[in-house]
Amino acid sequence: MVYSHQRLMGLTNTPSDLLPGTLELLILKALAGGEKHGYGIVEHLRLSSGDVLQVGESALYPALQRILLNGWARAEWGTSDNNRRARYYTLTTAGRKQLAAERAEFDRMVGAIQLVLSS
Amino acid sequence: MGTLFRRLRHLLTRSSADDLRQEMELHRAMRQAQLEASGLGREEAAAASRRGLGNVTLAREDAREAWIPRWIDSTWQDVRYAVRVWLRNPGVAIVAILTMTMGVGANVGLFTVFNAMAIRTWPVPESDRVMRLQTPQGGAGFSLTAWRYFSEHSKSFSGFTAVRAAGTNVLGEPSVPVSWVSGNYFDVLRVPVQRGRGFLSTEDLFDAPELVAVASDGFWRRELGADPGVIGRTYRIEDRDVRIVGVTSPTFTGTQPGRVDLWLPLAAAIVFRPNERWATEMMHEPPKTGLGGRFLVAGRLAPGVDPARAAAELTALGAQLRNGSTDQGRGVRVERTTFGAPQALQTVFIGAGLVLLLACASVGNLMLARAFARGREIGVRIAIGASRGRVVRQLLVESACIGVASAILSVMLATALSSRILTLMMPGATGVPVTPDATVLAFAVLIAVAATVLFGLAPALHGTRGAALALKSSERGLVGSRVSLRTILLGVQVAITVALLATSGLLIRAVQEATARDHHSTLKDLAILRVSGPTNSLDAATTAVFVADLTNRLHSGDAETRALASVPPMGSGNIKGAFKKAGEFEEQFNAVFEVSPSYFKVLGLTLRAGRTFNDSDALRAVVVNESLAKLLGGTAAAVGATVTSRPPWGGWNLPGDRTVVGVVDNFRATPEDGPLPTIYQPISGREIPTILFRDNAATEERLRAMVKQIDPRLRGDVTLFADTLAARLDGSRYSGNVAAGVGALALLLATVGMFSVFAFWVERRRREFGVRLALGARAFSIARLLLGTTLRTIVLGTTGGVLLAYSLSGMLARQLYGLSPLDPIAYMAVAAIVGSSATIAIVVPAWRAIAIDPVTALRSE
Repeated sequence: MVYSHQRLMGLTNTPSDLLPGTLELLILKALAGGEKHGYGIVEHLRLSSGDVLQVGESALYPALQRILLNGWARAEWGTSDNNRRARYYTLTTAGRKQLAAERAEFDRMVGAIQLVLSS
Repeated sequence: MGTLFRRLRHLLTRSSADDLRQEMELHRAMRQAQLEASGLGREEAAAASRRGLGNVTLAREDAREAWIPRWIDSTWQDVRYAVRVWLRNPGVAIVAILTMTMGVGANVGLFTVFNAMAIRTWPVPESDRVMRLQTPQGGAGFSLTAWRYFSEHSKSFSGFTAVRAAGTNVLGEPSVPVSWVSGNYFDVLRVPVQRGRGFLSTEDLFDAPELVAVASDGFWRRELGADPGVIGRTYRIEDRDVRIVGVTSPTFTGTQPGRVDLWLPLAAAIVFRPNERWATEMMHEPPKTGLGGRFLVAGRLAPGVDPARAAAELTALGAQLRNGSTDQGRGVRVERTTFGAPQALQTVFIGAGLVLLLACASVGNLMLARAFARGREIGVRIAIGASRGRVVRQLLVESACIGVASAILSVMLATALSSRILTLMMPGATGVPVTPDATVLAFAVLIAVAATVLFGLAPALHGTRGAALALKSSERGLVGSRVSLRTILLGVQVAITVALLATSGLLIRAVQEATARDHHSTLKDLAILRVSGPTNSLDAATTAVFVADLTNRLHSGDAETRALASVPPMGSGNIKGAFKKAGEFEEQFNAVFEVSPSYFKVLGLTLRAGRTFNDSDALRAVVVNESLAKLLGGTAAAVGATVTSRPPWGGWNLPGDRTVVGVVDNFRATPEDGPLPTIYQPISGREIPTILFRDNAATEERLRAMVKQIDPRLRGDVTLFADTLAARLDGSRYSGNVAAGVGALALLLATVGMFSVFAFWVERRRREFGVRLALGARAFSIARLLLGTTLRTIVLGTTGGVLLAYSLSGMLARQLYGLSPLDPIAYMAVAAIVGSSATIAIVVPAWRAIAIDPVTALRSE
């Protein structure tokens, strides 16, 4: 459901078979590099993927809420560089553990797919 | 666990919705800034950034859903909407809540009483390990021999306590309710004591009675001034000093339904009541082969023993005690220590259930009417895309608001009124704590939920059916079938109303008929003089002297109109005995009266054979009634026969052989009296008897004076036998009144229901009536048409109600005193009442129907 909005709006080039939960993994990774606000996360993902991954707000914020619910990140209001108010997300210790775990799981999945494709 | 905590925290910090909106707006602004920086014009950048947001609303909803599951969120929405809806129609809400409170409240109140009497056990620690014993015959009274035998030989119990079975246990003037208990009562039961202690075993020795007492908390506060130094104080009662050794906790209200102010050892009864048979027997109990007696026995199970095994052991011990004689029972039973539910409870519960059904039917009709009135609103919702289930859920939530409100009110009502209800049903139960506890609350919730579903579900389903059509046609509501939910509900209302009114009518008629019969009784001027005063503390010798004196004075003068009797006819008191035909071994139950020879003349009983006793018989002669004579082989054969009387419960029979010298009629004061075999014995002088006389003022004065002459401390109270007869009808009179009250209420609700149905039909067939009126129909035919629409329902409802009443009357047979359950007058009255209320209900709608202007009716769409 999360990805169908984007497909409707034709806004991202996210491949349709992106595994579920990957967005949260990507967000956690983005936060691992330091606290960011929502737009910052989107920009980070866009830049580090070479403009391939363009996440819309309608997908981002629900995912961020889920991350907050599970205690993987904290949120605080602060001021951004151009003196605007923004809400900053910081990775927690639990979040770091979750990042490592999800990453391992993702690698396992991808490995398995590759095995199948190359057999 | 962590997520739950975070969820709660999120719910409590109310800023989250705003937060998200702000955040997303800022995100958009930043994107716009960036797009502008990369060369887009301001407006294009703004538009592009907005596009980039995606579906904001859905995003916000998804975000919310992360924190609160969707169904909770939407249900909370429903609740808020329901409250708003009800606040807009407060009148309807109040009517619905009050109606449901009546139905639910009645049931919760009765359940509180039931809980207090039949579910909760004695207020002692670990009361589930304390058991009450019951004899094989099903009675609760044991002999002291049995108690001692069990105490000595039972291994499944750690101890037994004996309590004098309830009689009128009062001491002193004004009377203090007391309980005579064995010395180990407080130990075995582990009664919570707030000051001092319970009894010691040395304080309950029959040959050395000690006058000690334990006071209840209430008594300590009322009569002893809540004195902190009360232990060791003496309290004077009936000219003796009793030493207070303890005060029980406020939580302990005794182990009997009646209130107890003082507990005294059994042995003390020998001092206070030397005259009463049970007290003297305690000192020298005659050898009994039966378990039965006058003492309630309870015991605490030894650890680890289960009740079934304990019961088996006691049965075996009981059989041992009776030397293996065959038992006509199920053996000794052990029971939980409840106080015992009042007898009438079952019937009243059914009545309350009916009231609940009625309330549900009324409120259901209300909800249905409202659902139709909001047909347009519901149609719009469904057209926009709400599923039918969603709308039904919302309507149910509205019903649930009513249910919750009425449940809360009911519990409050029950808390306030339950003790009153108990006193009405069982006047002696002054010592039972009737307060709602967790069980009662659970019951209230259950009933409220059931009622909500009952009155809410069907109208909700019904009101959403074909709702889409409501938008199209001007006819609001269903394209009706004849048998709609509305008519079913109305039928139910009418049926219950008729049932209640008919039951009440039967009871009232029964009382009427019985009273009329009483007035033709030949005993209407019979009066009873009871002597009271400190006679209970007189010993046997003094009493005998009193009685002899009384008898002499009575027999001088007009002996035919006065008589002595141990117990007045139809009076309460221990009048059971048992006799055996000489030479046979079968015991029969009979009633026994000690009377003077003029008794039979005064009561108008004719001698059928033989003679009454006279002084030369020296107490060995008895007179029997016809029923007993039959057992002896007939009236003629009975004269001269010998009977042996033996008291199984220490009854009035004097042990030994007696010769029958005469046979009299059976005494039947009322047609429903059963002719119990009766033995009449001469006055023995053991207790002061009552005086029976044919009433007139002069006689009464003379008799009172005579009593005072014997002893100035004595008092004579006169009652009329007619009052005793009338009092037995009290139960029916009361029930009839209650049923009538509830029936009137039901009638009101049913009339309102009928009114709403008629009004509905007038609206529905507005055009049709317009046409008829235009064609020349008259008022009367319109009214008849209107009545015809619901006549079938009303008739069916009435028939159902009559059938219901007939089956209910089977349960009330005892209180109908011989009135036929198909008494025509009662049913005709009910039919007339229902008919007239239907007529009243139809007046206003018919008026409005006639006032329809045909032209506008035809023109309107």
